[in-house]
Amino acid sequence: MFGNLSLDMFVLRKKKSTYFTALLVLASVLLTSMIAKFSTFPPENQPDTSFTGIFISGTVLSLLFISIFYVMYLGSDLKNGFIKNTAGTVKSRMSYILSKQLVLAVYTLAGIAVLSLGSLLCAVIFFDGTKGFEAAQFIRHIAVLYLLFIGLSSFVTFLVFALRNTTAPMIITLLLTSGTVKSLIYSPIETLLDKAGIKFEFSYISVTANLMNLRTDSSSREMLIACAVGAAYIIVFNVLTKIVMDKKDIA
Amino acid sequence: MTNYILKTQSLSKHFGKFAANESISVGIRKGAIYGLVGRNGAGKTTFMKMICSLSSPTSGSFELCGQSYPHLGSARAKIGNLIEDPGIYANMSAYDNLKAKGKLYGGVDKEKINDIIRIVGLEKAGKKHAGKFSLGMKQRLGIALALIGDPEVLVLDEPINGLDPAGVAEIRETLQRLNHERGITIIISSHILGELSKLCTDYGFIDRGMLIKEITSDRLGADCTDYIRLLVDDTDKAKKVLGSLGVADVTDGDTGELRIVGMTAGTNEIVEAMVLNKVKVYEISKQGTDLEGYYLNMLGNGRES
Repeated sequence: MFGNLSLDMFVLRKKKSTYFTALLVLASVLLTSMIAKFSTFPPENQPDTSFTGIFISGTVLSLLFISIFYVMYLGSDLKNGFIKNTAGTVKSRMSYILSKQLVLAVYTLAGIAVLSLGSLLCAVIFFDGTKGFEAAQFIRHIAVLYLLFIGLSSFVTFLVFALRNTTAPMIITLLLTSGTVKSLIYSPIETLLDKAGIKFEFSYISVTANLMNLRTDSSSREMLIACAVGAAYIIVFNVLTKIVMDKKDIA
Repeated sequence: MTNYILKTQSLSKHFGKFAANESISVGIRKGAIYGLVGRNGAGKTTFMKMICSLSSPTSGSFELCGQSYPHLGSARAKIGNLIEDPGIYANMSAYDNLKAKGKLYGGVDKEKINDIIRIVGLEKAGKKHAGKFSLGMKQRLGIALALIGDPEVLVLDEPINGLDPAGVAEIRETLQRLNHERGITIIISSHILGELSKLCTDYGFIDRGMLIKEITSDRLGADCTDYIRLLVDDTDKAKKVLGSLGVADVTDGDTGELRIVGMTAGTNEIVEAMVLNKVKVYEISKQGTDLEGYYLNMLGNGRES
């Protein structure tokens, strides 16, 4: 396990996409801040220009880049055949997967740090700095956000190793993180269910919807639901990935 | 007693109703260079994947370095493989690729990496990214990656595919060196049978997922040696006649067939002696074959039966 972890950390450091994605995350915050600063909005649609508001806008856009990175990172061993060099050597194939997830967890933490730092800089440069900022609330927000990101990485890991390619997982992830699935699938189903007298929102069980909807001032109930969704994704998709890795050959 | 590094017993791999490997039992001696011979889709790669723990057998078992599947334990680390793709990170140099894989085993220092780079002849690659390597360089890097964990067994699936003659010769020399100097057992598959015949000490012929023959290179050499094929009505009588001519190396072939090894001249004298001793000669011809011919003959025989 330690050998795998060490290998994955080394590969992460050597990948150009590692740094490119971090730059894109930073650019996301900058872009959303510039739009908020220089565009004209109707009074009812004024963007939240507080530090946390900038952070949330940046998160929604960064989600796309981070999930693309997840697919690229996880799929690289499959694409270049490196998995065949290593998978037979390890005692448990799951240790191969877990080390990748740990590395992605570290990378996600770094991504959130970049996002926070970028938001702070933009808030200071373009707006009122950290006026009205509540550290405790923000830390709670970040903790839940982090859990959701780990849930997303577990889901993406399952997709990549179950489908054994990167194209389909990339498309699915992009559709989920861009909100396309919400508009095209979730909303019509919710409307139909509503007409049938059933109240159900997919946003409760979707990790990406939770990532996009999470606010610093979200209620404790919303935070709890988000935590439950994140934890459920981590457990369910890691169990499924383990089944896939144990049963399926490395082709 | 033969010291086997890999022994399989009725190893089978089925994909639904399709049997990619069917009841393969082989014994590979420690220190051997074992050539797996078979056409495309014969089941060579499937067999290799099973012994490298990339694919699980449908039935059967195998023993690697004294440990039985699936409880291979430390034996897993004693096998290095190059199966289908060299498995390299294109944006890293040869050194970094080896360093990356070395992290998996631990204790791989700069000196060891440079030593492996020297063994496979990639010293001149420097910091060039592996993605810009020629096919031959990529294959050599693939072999280097397989070597990083100090394996006792090297499993190479078509390592010389697509290489130019010089590249093929380089890989052959590298493998021979590894086998002789480090005692690494090599299991190799290739379509270039001429090359395999220059390298291997043992062969396993696979067709339609089944092992149809195992043979040592010495035995193969004997089987491929030029000989006179003599088809007669009475082989016992013919042998006595040949004995009187001073021909000792006579083996039985198919029914009514005798093979006179190491003597390709003097067919007239043989026919004359047979006629004088009232042995009917139906056919006499000079025969000889190489690994490719041997393989094709064997496949032909297999199909007929």
